[in-house]
Amino acid sequence: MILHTLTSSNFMPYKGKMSIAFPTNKDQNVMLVYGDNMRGKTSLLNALRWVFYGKAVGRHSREIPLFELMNKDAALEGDWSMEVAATFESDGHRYELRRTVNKRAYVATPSRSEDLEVVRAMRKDDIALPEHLIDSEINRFAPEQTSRFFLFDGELLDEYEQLLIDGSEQSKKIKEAIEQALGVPTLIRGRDDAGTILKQAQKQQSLDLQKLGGLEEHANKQKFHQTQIDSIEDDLAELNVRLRSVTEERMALDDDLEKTEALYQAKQKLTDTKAAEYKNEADQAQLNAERLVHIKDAWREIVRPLLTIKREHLHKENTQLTEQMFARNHVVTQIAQLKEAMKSDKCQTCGQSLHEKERAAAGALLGTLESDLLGMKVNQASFNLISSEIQALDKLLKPTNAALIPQLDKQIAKLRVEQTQIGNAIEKLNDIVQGQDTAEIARQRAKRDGLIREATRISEDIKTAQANLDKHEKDLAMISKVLQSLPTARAQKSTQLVNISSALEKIYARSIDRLRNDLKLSVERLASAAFKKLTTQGLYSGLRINSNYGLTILDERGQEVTVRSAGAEQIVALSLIDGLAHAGRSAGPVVMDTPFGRLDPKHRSNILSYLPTTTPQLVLFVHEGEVNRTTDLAGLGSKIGAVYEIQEVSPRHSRIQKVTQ
Amino acid sequence: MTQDPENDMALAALLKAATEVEPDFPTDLLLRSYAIQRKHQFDREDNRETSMQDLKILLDAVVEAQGGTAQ
Repeated sequence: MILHTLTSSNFMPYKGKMSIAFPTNKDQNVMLVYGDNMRGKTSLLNALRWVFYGKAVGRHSREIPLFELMNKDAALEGDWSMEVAATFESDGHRYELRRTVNKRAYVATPSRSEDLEVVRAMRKDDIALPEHLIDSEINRFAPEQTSRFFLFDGELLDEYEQLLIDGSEQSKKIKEAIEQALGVPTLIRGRDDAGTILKQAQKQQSLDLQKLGGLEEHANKQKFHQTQIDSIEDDLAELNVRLRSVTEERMALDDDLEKTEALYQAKQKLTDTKAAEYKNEADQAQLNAERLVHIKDAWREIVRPLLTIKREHLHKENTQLTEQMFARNHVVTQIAQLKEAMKSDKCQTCGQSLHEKERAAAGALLGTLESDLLGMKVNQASFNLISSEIQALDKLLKPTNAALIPQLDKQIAKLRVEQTQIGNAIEKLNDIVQGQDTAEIARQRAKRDGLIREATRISEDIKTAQANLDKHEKDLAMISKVLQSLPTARAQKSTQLVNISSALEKIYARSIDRLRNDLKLSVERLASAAFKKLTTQGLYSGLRINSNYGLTILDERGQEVTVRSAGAEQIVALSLIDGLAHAGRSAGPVVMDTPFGRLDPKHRSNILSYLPTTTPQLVLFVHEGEVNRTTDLAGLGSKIGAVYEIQEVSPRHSRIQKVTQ
Repeated sequence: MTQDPENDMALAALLKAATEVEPDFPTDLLLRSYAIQRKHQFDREDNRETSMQDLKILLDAVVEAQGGTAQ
């Protein structure tokens, strides 16, 4: 298939008419559509998906309701029409596929998808096809089941990593999609159809055998097992419906909870932040109290220099007074000694008798000293005053903790800044949490957990029922074998139909296992070849596939590389896509939305060089950050057939324009 | 519709499986049954019975040709 044009009217952000023409020249088979995030790249992919299959998908591959596909601005202006049309060619035929939406006749203003009516039309070589033939025509060249391999959403790359996790729900879904693309359902349907015919034939066989003498017992046993099988199959069908319903409900809750996860986190954070605010306030109060204690004595530091001088001065005076007191006391002592000596005629120091001459000298000295003493007045009151002043000053000049105040101020200022930040954070968190029902979120969480338990229980019931079914089928097969050996039974048409349908069922059943094995080897080989072209690590020897089609990288010794980067994951996923595309379907266009998110320039360059060689038409919806127009396209220049750019007119209105190269 | 086991891995697997589990099963019948399944492989669920009915007609015709006894 080769795409020619895609046109739309009022589809998602593309208000009014939108039109793009795909490059059809095989030598210039690459088309680039540039657009920032939220501008409408994925909407273009959805336009293709919707025109072909009548569905557009959003996050987690969930279908977007029809009502949401209508351009909101156009709807506000009363225009409730929407259309997407694609023209393409396949096997030498020209096709035009068109899907149109209008509001139903009796609806004034649509408010839900049911108020809208969809009409589909296909023309093949300018001849309109009847509606009932359109699906089978599309299935010939682009069956929906394989669409994920040519309408490729970059978001899905993550899903392919899930293939490495055995038993995960996502991996089961992708494995199913892969096997659909690779033709496994053809064989599964063959087995199931043969099985259904076999069952019908066995029932007829029982009826026939009851009419034949001697075979009633076999017929009764056969009937018993058939009844059991029917009953178990009914149970299994019911269990599977319940499991699907529980799983879908759980997935819907998961999606809702993912949206509210941010709210839940905000609520948790709010509690933590409020606790931090409380602690901050307590710390500030404690530091302020400490600061007050230190500030009470801090004034002393201001007067300390003056008081120190005053104290030194007083010390000096005190010393002088003390010296004067010592000197006077010395004179008083001398006078007392001399007076005593004069009375006793003996020297008070050595005890010898004083002669007249010596007594006269002592008398003279006494007179001099008595005269000196009169001049030696000591002001005791001054001395006492100075001493008490010094004592008072010593008290005042005791060291204080005032030096700690600047440190405390610093800590308090820091806490105040933090307090402001905490206050702002609380305000923001309050805005997020305000009006949200956190109890409802808790209810959803509990319900989701309950659904997980219920799904596990149903799966166990399915396992038990399946084992029971296998047992009855085995017994029934034994009876068939016995009947085979009986000529009367063998001659019956119903027995012959049992035999032939049983053999056919057996062949189809075996072929499914065989095909799965063959496909794995084939996909592994093709994906490894693509991987070697895409990776920048020359030492990697290839990829190894597991039972889910998950791929692991092999190093130069053939050992599995257990730790790989996000970029490597993407390369492996793209290699798998390429391998699947080549193993499973005829050549057709590949349309990729945002496929290069995690890749470095060298890997981008490898992919941009490689993909155009493996597909007849490569359409890439990218943003400037993914594919740089000047650096990344250097090696691709000659391959580019068209470049478009998505421009924003308003948040609900984008338009697309061709860029002159 | 062309039936080429070289380019159709599912058909190749089916033919190989027949030689393993039912070597006497007529290849022509197997090919015709596969053609039915191939044609209806992407049928929607509401159209699921068509392939089974086509296969039933095919198998009935084979039984009829074998000339069994009907009750």
